[in-house]
Amino acid sequence: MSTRPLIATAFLLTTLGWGLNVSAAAPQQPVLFTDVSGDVGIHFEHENGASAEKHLPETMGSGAVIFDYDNDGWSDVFLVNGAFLVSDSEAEDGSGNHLYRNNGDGTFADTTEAASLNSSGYGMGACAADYDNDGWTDLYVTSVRADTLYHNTGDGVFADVTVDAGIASELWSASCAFGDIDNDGHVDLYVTHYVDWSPENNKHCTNSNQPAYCHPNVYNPVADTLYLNNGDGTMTDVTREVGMGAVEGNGLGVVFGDYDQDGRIDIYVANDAVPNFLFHNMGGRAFEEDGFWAGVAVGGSGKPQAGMGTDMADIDGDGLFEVFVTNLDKETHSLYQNLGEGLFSDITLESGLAQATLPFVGFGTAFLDYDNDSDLDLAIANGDVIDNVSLYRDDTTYEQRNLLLENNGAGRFSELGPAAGPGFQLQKVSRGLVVGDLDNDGDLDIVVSNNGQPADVLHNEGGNSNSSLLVRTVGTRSNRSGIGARLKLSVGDRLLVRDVRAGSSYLGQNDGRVHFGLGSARTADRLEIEWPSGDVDIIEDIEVNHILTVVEGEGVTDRQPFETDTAEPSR
Amino acid sequence: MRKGLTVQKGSVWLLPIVAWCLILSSLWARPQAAPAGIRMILVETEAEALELRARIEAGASFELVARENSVDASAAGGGYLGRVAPENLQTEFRNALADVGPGQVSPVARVGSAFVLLQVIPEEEQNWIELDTAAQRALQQGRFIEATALFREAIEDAETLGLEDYRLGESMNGIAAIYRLQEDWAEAAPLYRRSLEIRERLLGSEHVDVAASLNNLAEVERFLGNYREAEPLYRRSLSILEQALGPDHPNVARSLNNLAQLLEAQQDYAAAEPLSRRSLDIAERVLGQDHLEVAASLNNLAEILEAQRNYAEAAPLYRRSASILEQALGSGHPNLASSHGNLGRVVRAQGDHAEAVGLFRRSLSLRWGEGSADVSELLERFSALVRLAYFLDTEFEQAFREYQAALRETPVREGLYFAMSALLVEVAREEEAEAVMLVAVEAHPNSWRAQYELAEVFVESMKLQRALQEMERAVQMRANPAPDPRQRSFVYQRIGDIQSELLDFAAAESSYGTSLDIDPDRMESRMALGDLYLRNNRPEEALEQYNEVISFQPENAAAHTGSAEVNLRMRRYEESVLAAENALRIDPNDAAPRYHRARALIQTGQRDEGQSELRAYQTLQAEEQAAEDRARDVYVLNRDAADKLVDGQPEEALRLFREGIESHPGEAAFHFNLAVAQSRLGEHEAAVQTLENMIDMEVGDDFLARRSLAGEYEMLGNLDASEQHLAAYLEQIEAALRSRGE
Repeated sequence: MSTRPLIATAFLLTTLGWGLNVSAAAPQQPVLFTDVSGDVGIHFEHENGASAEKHLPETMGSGAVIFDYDNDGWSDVFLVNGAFLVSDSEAEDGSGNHLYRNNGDGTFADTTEAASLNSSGYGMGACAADYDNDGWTDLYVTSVRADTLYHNTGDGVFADVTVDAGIASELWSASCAFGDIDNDGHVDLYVTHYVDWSPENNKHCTNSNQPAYCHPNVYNPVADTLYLNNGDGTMTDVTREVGMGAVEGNGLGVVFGDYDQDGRIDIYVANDAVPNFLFHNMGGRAFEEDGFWAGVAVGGSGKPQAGMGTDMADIDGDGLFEVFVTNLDKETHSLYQNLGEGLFSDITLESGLAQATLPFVGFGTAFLDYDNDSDLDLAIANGDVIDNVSLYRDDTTYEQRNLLLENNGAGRFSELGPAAGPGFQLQKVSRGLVVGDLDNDGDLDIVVSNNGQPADVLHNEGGNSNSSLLVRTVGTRSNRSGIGARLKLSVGDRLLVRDVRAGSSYLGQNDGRVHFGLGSARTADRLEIEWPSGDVDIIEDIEVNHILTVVEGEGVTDRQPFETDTAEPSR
Repeated sequence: MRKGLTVQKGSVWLLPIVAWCLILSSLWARPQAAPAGIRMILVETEAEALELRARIEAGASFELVARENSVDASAAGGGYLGRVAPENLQTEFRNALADVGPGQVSPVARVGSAFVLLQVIPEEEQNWIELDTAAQRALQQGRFIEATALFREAIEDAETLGLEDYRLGESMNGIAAIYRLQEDWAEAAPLYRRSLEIRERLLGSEHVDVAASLNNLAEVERFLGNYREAEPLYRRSLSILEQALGPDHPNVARSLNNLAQLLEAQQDYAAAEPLSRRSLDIAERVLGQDHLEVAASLNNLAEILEAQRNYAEAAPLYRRSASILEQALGSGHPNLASSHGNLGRVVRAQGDHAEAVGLFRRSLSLRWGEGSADVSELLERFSALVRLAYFLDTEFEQAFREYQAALRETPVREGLYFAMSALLVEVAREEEAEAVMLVAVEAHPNSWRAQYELAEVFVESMKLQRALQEMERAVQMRANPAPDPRQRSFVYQRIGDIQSELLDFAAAESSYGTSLDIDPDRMESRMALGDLYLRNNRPEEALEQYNEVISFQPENAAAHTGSAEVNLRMRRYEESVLAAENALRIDPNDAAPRYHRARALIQTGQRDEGQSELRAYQTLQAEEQAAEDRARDVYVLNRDAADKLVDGQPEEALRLFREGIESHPGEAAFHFNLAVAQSRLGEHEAAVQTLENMIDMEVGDDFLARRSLAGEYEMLGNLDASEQHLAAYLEQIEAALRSRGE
């Protein structure tokens, strides 16, 4: 790996006139999440197209993406919608997906039409990255019938380039994620496919003689798809060539991450009811499925679980990425601790997650430092799969509350319950959950998409009483979004390691800016960025509570203090 | 050989009258010293007494000599007279024991015209006697949990004392008897084996007690399916009894019968028949023509003849057996059900279907009808309902209404409710099963079992809160009969299981604790408690429970697997490998311990072996998953096809059912539902063909196919064939109900 260290100090930039806005070491105050969706202007209601036929997609969607499509420094929100499934040949009808532009004043504007994103297909999820390195983040939307690649033209409009890009998928797609598998500077695309369902082969299933959505294994599993970016605006399906075509699963969640620190990005896939996959990158053009070997394919007792959403992060501060997967109720979700040398250990019970998650059917999930205390906490979106579950089970409900779990710093989690605020007391059929700093105030907000219900925007109130830092990466030799870059931030004796990602959780994607909670620290000692190209940038003496833009090979090129009050949403 | 008085076996706790008179003197006259256990041998001549004393001095057991030679009623208990304070002994006894230490034999003492030898039992041995006595009493009174605990203590006592003698054998025999009564053959077998060894060594190989041990062990081996092992044991037992008791003793007849049944089970009818005939002959001569044991012998011989298709000879034997029972018990007694059923089977085989139908109906009513009420109509309605189980339409609803009406009108025993409810659950008709059990609870308000079964149906239908309520009600009921401690312990375990499923772990822990308080040997509760601790991240406690189970049941694979998982989680990799290997030795096809072993091996750097184990695990896991998926597929495909029929797409329905048969030929539901669909479409000949194929292929519950065939033939006007299948249906439904309801 070629290393080209480039040291730039934040101090140099401050002398150029950026104002200091150092927050004092504040005592930790309660952090509350409140749904502000109506107040901020996100009036999105998901259509699941629920029918007497109990078409399986009706209960699975949909997802959300947080990304800055207009490069104004404010994260926008894209919400995927369902529709009404009739048949393969008949048109589907629905109000379509929605794009909400962040006005930067605590409100959002629905710019769907202006952006030409008002597709009416049955959407599932989405992910976003600058696939053509033109400086504008593009969008990939998965759906039940045909996925769409939208090219961001830079003037607020997206163009459907699916056919031109060579993407032709007729499979039911779920989650997607971008990552540069061969480190050639162009992001590639992984798309999970759930099962081979279509309206024509829909099966009639029952639970206690009540019509119910079928177990996924009633349908045939399918292999996911890996598209290799050719660098010329087109992509090629290389699933079989790289060795992924031989394994078929019920793919739902996906996340990229270099779990074995060999400099090549690997791929983890959460499969529903069959073993999960860990595709070990053997050099960019070849992958080995190592889920069983690594110990992340099944639960600790050796049984496959109902994998839905997934995330990967270093939760215990050893620099290695753990893997988390949400599953069905009574299964426990699974947290796999990275032991190094490519091996994991299931620590779900030991981490305290089993007890907290047992009653819930989990979907979207994200590691996030919601209280900026520098360790990664965990948010989970919940909701049963069967809409009429209460008719035959008296111990659960379709609508469930979501969970926020506090990390004690050593990888042990406890559920906050009502202490997380009213946003986490809502009982809904949640699916997607993505995080990002929507008001640029230094703490992470959450967007939750709900099946057949309005989406929630959970505003973080109080998280920024501790310090933090947001880092936006811009690749030059690497892909433009810097996806796959590993950021190592030293603060005192702590080393915080985060990756730049484009796709995780369930059907969604978090804000691409990397967030570091820093507790009462006033400065961070050093930020080391290992780019996918192999280059390394090092930045020292960093003043906290800023949004930094780091350009590969150039260091910090922009530095904005967090908003103080203008971004607070009106309520 | 025992002389003089005949004693009743097992009466050791009764002070024999003779001894009572000899020993006690002015019981209330003096303050009492510490009582000691006393054994006595009573004989008629001094010479005999001296000879026996010399044998004991030379090392023979006082107890055995007493059992074989004493003419006192205490002989059966090894001469044991109980605890007696020295001052309460007659002068002759006190004098005889004056210089005799515990365990030694006294000089010969003359008491009246008889001569006695005495022994003061050492205190430690006395403890065993009292434990064993109390255990025997508990066993006879059906208090199995208490008896097991006492026998176990008695065995420990005997082993601690190094008593490798009959005491150990007797206590083992007692505990084995408990297992046998509970049909836990695997646990009973080694204990009987050990007891037999001890008896043979101490009593000689020709003793009647040895014959009893041989018989008991043979019975256990028979139930375990180890016929080769059982046969020589039965034969030796028979030979000893013939020698000891003479060829015409009732016990010889019983022994002949047991051996004949074993041979019948091995289909060696030629060898079984003469033994059975001899057994019947002895019983008739010794016990009388109308004795109940004669009825049993007649029945057993008839079964052997029936198996050889000798229906002409079997039928009158069954008739005579039924007649004896009817005379002895009355015509409405449920024990007559089997006689009628057996006779019905032979009559059907002889081609008299009309009589067979009557006999089977009578048999069903005797077994399942309250007061032998006629259950034919109810069962007709039930069969019609189950037949339509996959079809969600008005025809099913109508069938259910008619069935419910019959259910309310017919007084039936609770076992029939359990059987019908179980059959409905098997075809995923849980709500209808609930309705059955609600009627059962209403009809049998004092039955804890009905209450319990209702709760289990709610478990099946995933209404866990309701299940918990009903289960708690069952265990708290003042029922008649009341649940015995084992049953109460089991119900508490089930309560714990439900609470655990409801994620109320604190309550579940408490319920499992209660279950174990009542029956500490209930290993299922201990396993469940271990699993609960594991799930709640209390690994040390989980391990403790698993280890307890393993110490009690070394062959419990699940406990070894639990231990493997806990050790793996605690990163004690070597212990995990060891535990997994123990589990795999017992059940090499269990995927879970393979997974734990693979992970532990990989973690300890034994990567090649770990990889190889991981592959073996993946194969097993894939097989498990395929089996689960297959069961799900079968149900879904059947429902899907049935829906097509209901939705007015008959051709599509028939096509899907046929596809199902092609892809899953062994799955009865496809065949059966195809026939139902054909029948509903008026294609009765095709339906007959489908059902006949199903019977030829031996798939599924025969009774439903037979009942449907009876109906199809009736539609086609072939009444003979209809009656023939009706008789077969009635015979088969009896078997189907018994396997679920008893």
